[in-house]
Amino acid sequence: MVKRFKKYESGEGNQFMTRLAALNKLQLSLNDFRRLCILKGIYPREPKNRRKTQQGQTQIKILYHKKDINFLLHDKLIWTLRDMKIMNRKIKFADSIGDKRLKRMRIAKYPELRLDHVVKERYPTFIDAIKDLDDCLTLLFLFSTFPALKSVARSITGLCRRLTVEFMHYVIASRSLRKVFVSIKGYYFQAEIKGELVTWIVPHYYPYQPQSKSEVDFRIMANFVEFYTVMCGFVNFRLYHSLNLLYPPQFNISLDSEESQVDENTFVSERIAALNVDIKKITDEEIEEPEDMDLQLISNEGDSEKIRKMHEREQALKRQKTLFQGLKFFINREVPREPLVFIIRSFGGKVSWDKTCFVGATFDEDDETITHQIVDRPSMTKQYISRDYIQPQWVFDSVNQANLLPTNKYFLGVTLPPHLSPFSNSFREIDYVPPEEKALRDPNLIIQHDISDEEIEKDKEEEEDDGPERTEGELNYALVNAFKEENKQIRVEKSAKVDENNKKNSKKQQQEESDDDELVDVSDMIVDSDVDQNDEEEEEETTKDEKVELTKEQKRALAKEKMKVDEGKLFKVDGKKEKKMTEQEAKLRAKMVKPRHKKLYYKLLEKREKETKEVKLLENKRKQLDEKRKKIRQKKSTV
Amino acid sequence: MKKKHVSMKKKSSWRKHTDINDVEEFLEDQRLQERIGANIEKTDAELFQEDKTPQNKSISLRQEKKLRALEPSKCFIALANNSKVEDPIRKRNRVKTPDERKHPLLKAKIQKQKDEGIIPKRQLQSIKDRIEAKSKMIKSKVKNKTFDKDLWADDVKDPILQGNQELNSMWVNDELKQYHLKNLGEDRVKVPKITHEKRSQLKAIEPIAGLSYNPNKEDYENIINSVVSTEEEFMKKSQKLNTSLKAVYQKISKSEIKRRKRAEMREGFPIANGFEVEKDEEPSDNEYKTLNPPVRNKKKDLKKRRKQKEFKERMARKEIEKNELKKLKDLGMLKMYKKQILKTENEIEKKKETRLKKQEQKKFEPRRLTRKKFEDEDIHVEDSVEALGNLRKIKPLGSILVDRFKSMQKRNILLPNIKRLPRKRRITKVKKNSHKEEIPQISKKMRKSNKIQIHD
Repeated sequence: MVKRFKKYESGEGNQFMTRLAALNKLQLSLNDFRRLCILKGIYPREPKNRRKTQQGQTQIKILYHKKDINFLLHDKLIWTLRDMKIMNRKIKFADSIGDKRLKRMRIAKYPELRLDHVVKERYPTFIDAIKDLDDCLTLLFLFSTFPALKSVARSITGLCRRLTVEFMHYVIASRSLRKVFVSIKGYYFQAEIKGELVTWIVPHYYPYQPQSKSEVDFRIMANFVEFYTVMCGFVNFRLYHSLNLLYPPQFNISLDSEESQVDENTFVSERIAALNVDIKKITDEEIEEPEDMDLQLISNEGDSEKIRKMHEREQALKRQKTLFQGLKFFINREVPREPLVFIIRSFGGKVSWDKTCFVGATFDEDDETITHQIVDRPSMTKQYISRDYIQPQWVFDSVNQANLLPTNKYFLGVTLPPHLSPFSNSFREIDYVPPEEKALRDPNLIIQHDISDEEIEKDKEEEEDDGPERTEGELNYALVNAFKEENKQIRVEKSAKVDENNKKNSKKQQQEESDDDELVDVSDMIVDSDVDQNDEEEEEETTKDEKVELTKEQKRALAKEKMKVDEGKLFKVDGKKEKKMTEQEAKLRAKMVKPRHKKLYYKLLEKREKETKEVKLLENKRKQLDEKRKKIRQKKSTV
Repeated sequence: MKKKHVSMKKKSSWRKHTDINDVEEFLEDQRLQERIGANIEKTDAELFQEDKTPQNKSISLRQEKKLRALEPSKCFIALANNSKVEDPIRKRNRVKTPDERKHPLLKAKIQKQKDEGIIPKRQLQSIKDRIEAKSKMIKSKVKNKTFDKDLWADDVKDPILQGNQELNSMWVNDELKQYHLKNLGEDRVKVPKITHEKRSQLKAIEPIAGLSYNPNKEDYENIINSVVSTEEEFMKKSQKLNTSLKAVYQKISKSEIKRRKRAEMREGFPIANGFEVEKDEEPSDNEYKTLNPPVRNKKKDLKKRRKQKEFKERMARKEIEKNELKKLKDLGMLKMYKKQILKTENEIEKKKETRLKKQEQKKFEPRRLTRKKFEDEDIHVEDSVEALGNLRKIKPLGSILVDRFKSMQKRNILLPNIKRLPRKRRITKVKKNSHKEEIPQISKKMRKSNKIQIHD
């Protein structure tokens, strides 16, 4: 007989199970099940067709995939969770009969959840773990500020504190901090670790405020933290070893002393003091970073624009990493120290604070070599001439700009410029930037401001303090700039020449077809990209010629000629022609694109056009507004 | 009837007929006095005392309970010997307490040492041990987790096989390994994809520019506007709900309610509003009538059948003709059909595109996993610019914990459920009668005042 077909015995109707069914299958309580799911990374699913998966029922149920539940079934964690349940019962019994000794013994024997294999399972490669570090770090930083609570044991908050301090030390040692943003919620940090951007929040320092239970399930968050501590520990281990640092790091200040358990102030200051200590290395050898490819060598090959850009970025990064190198900061009492110490140290600066108030100060306030004192009060009675008194925002802003900003905007008691988020505007290629922000970001303008004497002195100091690496970097940067300028000049000259040629051609061959013209343009473009090669060759040729027939006088004359500055020649730009050329260039570029990428290419073009249009609109709007304001002001002044 | 005269010849008759009630009563009373230990001959001043202790004791309820705990429990009251009568056997051989058993010389020695402040060695050791054990307890509580291996090292490919040298050799093939591992209880399990998938395309941490501690004017206005618009929307919704519910839940006077209720209860009765309702139908005959009269199976005659058949044939022919004609017509309409097909294809393509777009957008939205829908957290904004711009004066607004919790819900890592708290049961405390007397009644006010005293 043929087997009768029954509904929901195969396919979608048979793939899922409700949470209750899963609980029954695993023989766990709801809380244990939740904990297990969080630890193992199993989540409920949203089916494509609810009615089919729920076998005809339409109300929304929590569904898990059957295979996921089977996966949970195989883990040893289930057995430890069951053991825990039994041990809880036993402890409760010992408590009820008042046998303290028995209770103590049983607590000591309490089974432990081993999560090493789970971490490896969830993050098969190290990069996977780093990609998921955002949540982990924010939660650990948050929990490290908590007191001992019912669902969060003291040992866990202590562990969180240890791990976060270790992580911050890695960031300091590797100089991988990139962005800082101070928000009402807390401090947003972004670091680049192994090429991945890791963002996390450090809360402002406030006393603990209890949460209402209806808002947050504390136990669930504690479960997350339980997993994240283990993960962060192993990540730290690997990160430290990649820098040849000793793990666990040893500080001369204990993080969990008995005094800190009583007094909250010492509890906080110990953590900060630990940040201001250098950590030990396993061996003195430094792991050499892969050196950058030589720019000059690569630039001769095609695609030089891209590589130059990359190189520039690299240079900027190098400069950012040593931003505060050689600077000495003193932090006043009223300023939040933890973020500032972390930031300054991770860009190479030295920090200290009031010795009498907190532990771990490295130098005193009356040290004459201090370059900056960070103050957050309207005025100060005793001030040193040798240092700048700045508000803390200077540090954040200069980190985000990757430049030491002029300090005059951040002086004591001055109303500060707005603190902009470095995280926004990253999605759009072209974006409207208001003139105020432009002024902030424009490096040329900064240089103009920089001319004050103190600034120069500081720069000198920096140079003196810096190692040879820094100067090399700077030299490189200067070289690159000079190189760029030269290229620009040559390009302008070339275009002028080409124009002249064209004119001549047009005179000679007036009735030629426009196709030839196009060809010329194209050839010109190609020439343009290979300019660097040609001009070097030319130079070489000239030098060779000179070597052949040189007397002293001739040499002098040649030198003089070389010294002489040629007068620039004016030439008229043919607007129509240029427009035509650009159009042709665009067409050619479009032709070069592979047919399968064509759609994407046009999409990108469209997007760019749209963005530029929007930016222009906004700029015009701004202009109009400014004019209006001007008129109003003029009217007022006349009245 | 009582006998007037009774013989008193025998001893027994004497016993029988003399009234010794008063003597016995007296003796009984005397014995009782002996047992209780009271003496009637005491004066009032001796017997009674003026109560000088304040009625409201200055001990807390907790302390009281502790004191009460020191007393023997109630269940042993019946066993206690309350009698004041002395033991008739003077030298009763009873079990002595350890303290009584001690030699008087030894006792004196111990007392002397105690007075001099010398603590015996054994006691000292026990104190030391106790302190040590306590410190150990604290240490064991704060378990120092150690991370002493590289989880992602290249050589650790199969962590299960790491410890097992025999299985790890090259001579054991993969199938055999699998078999043994399964039987050792360390089966290799394939990890489902869901553990490695990103649950949502949303970023874990998205800083908002307008929430800067010293924001740009534009950003700040943007965020304030967004907050205001959400609030307005909420208010609009609630107002709408209010107005729509007003129609449903109208206000009615009590008399009206009464009237309606009465009308409802009276529904279907022949008497309405006190008047007799006239009957519509007239009394019918006794004849039985149904709504559907029975159907007769009336046979068709031959003619009718033939006609029916002919009609069917005609219709079929017509249909065929029509189809043939349509085919001819369609040849002329080919162009139009082509257009139609193109149009429908275009429509299908468009639909597909929109569907794909929707799917792409869905990746950024919280999925529907439970009955409860995800509700985003309100953005906490400082409502005046003056409060901003100073790092020292920032106030806590919202909490990061809530923010994380909501973000995880938004990214489908957590379910948008709220923990249901267990209902609190009302507990009424009742004291047993036997315990009532012992506990002095202290009013709540007094307890509070007592507590304050103790804290001071």
